[in-house]
Amino acid sequence: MKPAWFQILLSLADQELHGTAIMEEVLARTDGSIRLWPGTLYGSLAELTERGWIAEAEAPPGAPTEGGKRRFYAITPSGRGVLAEEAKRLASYVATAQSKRVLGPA
Amino acid sequence: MKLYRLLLRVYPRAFRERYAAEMERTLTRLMELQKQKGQPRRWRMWLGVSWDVVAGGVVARRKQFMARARLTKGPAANGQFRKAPLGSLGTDVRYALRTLARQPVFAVTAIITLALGIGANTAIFSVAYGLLLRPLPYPDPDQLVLVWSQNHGRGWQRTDVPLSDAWDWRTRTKAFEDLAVLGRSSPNLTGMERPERLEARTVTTNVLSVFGVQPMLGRGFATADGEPGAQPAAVLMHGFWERRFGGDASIIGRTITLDGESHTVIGVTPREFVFPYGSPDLFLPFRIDPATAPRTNHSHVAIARLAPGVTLERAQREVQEVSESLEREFPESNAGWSAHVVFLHADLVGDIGRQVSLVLMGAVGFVLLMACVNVANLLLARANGRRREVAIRAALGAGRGRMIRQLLTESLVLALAGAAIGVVLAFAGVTAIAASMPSDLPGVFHFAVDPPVLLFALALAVGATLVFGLVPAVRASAASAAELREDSRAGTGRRSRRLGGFLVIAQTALAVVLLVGGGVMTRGVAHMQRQDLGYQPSGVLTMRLTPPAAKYAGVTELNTFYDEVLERVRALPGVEAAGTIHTLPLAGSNSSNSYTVPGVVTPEGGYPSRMGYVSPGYFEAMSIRLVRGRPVTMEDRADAPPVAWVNEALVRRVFGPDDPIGRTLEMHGSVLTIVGIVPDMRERALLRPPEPSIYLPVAQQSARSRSLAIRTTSDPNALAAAVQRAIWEVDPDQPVYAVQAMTDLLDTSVSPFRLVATLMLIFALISLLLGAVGIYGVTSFAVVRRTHEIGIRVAMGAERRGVILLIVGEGMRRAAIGLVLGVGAALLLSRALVSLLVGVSATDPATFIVVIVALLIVTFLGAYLPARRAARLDPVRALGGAQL
Repeated sequence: MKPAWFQILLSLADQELHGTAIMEEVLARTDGSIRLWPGTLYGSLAELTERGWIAEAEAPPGAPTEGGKRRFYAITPSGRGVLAEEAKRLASYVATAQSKRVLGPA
Repeated sequence: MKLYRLLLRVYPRAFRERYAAEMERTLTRLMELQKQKGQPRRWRMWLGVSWDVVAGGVVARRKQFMARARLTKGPAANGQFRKAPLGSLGTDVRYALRTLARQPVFAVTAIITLALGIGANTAIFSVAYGLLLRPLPYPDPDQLVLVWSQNHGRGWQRTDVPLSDAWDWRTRTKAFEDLAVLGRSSPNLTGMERPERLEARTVTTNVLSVFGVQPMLGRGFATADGEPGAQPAAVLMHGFWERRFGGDASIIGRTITLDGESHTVIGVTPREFVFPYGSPDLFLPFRIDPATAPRTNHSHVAIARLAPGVTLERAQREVQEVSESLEREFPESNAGWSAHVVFLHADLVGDIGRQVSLVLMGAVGFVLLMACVNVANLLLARANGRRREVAIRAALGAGRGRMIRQLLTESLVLALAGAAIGVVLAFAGVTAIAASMPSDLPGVFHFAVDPPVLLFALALAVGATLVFGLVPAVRASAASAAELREDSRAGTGRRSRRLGGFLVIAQTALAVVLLVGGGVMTRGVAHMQRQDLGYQPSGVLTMRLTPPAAKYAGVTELNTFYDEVLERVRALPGVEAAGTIHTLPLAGSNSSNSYTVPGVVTPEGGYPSRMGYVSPGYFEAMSIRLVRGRPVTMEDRADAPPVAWVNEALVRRVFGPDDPIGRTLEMHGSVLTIVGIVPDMRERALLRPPEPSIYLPVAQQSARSRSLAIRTTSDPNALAAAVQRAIWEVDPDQPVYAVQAMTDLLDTSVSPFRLVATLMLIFALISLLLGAVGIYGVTSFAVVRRTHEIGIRVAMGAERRGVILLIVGEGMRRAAIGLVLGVGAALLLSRALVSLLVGVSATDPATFIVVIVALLIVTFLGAYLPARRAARLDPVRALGGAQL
């Protein structure tokens, strides 16, 4: 799975967000190391929607519109499944790395 | 954002409609976040964005294309389309390359022409970008401002500030995050193997934090370092630390001796830190209470960082309020003084820098326009030859839009090839220009062909494609099936001739403007060098001395030292005369004072005057002719009656026709008797008309630093070593600096203008060349198309001369129209140039005449050569359909 997709699914795991908020959430969560440029972000959103992993959601009442319509996205059950699988896969790599003491004393 | 919106067009429309608005908002937010985190490299940001959009756009388009292909052709057809994800662009490019390769002469001519135009533009743009647009190398450079004093009553602007006033601006306003004050000093470094006079800035302790700089080694100044009686501390600039201490990190905590006082080195600045004004070796704190500094001492620079969200206007307002209350509190010293806030960047670039950049950008813009006109012309000629090809393709069902796109692709390929060569030319150009930049250009500017510049070159190529390619493409694609008839001459008539004529007129006009610009600048620079300065710089050697206060405490000691130095220097073989002045002409002094004249009504606050403090022998060394009165002598000592020399401008202003000799001037309580008149001299700047000036014997003043002016009988530089030895005979510890011939000093003032003039002249000559090629091309093309007509004329008995006259006459008529238009435009535009140069009038007739004659000759040749060929035409062959 593309890293950008993983990050997007991760930000939607516990909340519904619009595009800009996803970008901000990822930036803050990764300490500024993962920057989703608009092209990557919306390209991924389009692709993920097409695959049925995320879906457009109703904007929560009182959400700021900031002068234009904002599309909110929610993760779908199948998206959640894919995300969990991917996380498991990554976790297994980390576990291997730990067992080989790559990370130093845990 | 506008640019971004344009970039988004890479995406397919459906994607754009759905996401474009949100993408813009996300980008805005992303940029805000980046900015809060620290200063991002702007071009890197844009590079990232562009790559993101282009890559994403191509993916989206490809997806759309595949989806469509699947719909219309079924999955089986997929493979065959995979090669062309961007529609037919690939095919068009390949076709264009094939066509161009078949006509290499045409392609090479067009590419070289475009390379000249784009290369010149790219080179000049990288200079203009480096000067005007590239952010200064400090964190948040847009927040750095300078505060200057000004005194409207006396007409003084951008004047240095007193430490005390500046400190009040800092403490009494809320507009600044912080404000630092800097003064100059030139301590002598001793106690090491070789004495050296250093360039220091005495500073308030917050100076590094205002610039946003952390020391690379040690620490910056603490507030305690600036308190009265504090242990003397010094922060070294990186360059000085490397030069003098070999980059030894153990310097921190050691002491150095400056003017006999030991200072502890507490820090070293990082290599990247460039000081905007001059290149100091080190920083020393003031060690006084700013409130106690004299408010009349206008000799400091105030640099400040605006508080977040504060505008320049608000800072100006607040500083103004403080200035007004200071005027009330200290009317003695502050009456009439106010303050002015400017952005550091704007102040560094200056009005001249901005104007020069814009003038040059305009000039190269014209060059590119001419290059485009030429290529358009070539394309038109070529389109004519391709009418059959186009008509066949149209007959086979190619749409008009499709064909225009194909032809434009060809143009784009040409333009991109031209841009690629142009960028190579620009690299060389920028290197050459940067090398001939004035040496006093602040180090914060640098010039390079880097990503923003390359982006500009790319934009130029695309823009140029539209300028030169669109009209020929539209016209060429208009070919109809009628073309396919044998012998058709449809469409070669009036319209295309009118277009060719228009191109000639446009080129002539553009060439006139550029040539006049180049001519006016060149003559202006020649005038600067030839003008009567009031003194004779050639043959004069200069150098500067600053005897330390520790050794030479007062005026008496200083005078004895300088007298002895002059005596020894005058005794050297090859020296005709020698003297000293507190600051040489054109060396950047603006010391001035105000005076009143008993018996003459003077404005409140007195007349302003420029001041010069000179020794016996100075006027002689500079070959300054005394208009009247007596020279400065050894008798004009500190205890002798105070005397003054004035220049003719002062006499004109104050005394008119009256004889000023023997009259008196009052200056801060002392009464000076005028004993001589000297000519007006260009002292402040080559282009500033001389101002009223007063010269006083330096022995009656206390100037510590003085410059030597030595008139030699031969090459002044050959004498430098002997003079230095003579000085060291008097005091072996005395540093001698700024050793240079007076002509070199003069050259420093002229060189920026010479650079501009040279560039303008180069552009003008390119334009003349392009013009000649253009006119030749248009005329040849016209002759070819009129083969039939000329054949008939000759068959009917027209003489060769008549035919030549007909064709040359047409060319000259167009040139005449172009000349008139060009001269009109040049008259308007050269005013902008003249504002840079005094001494040449915008309507300098000699320049105009030379330009007009040159263009007439070029036009004549350009038209005559094809005309002669036409006149040799054999009517039988011409009517038989043969082309020339």
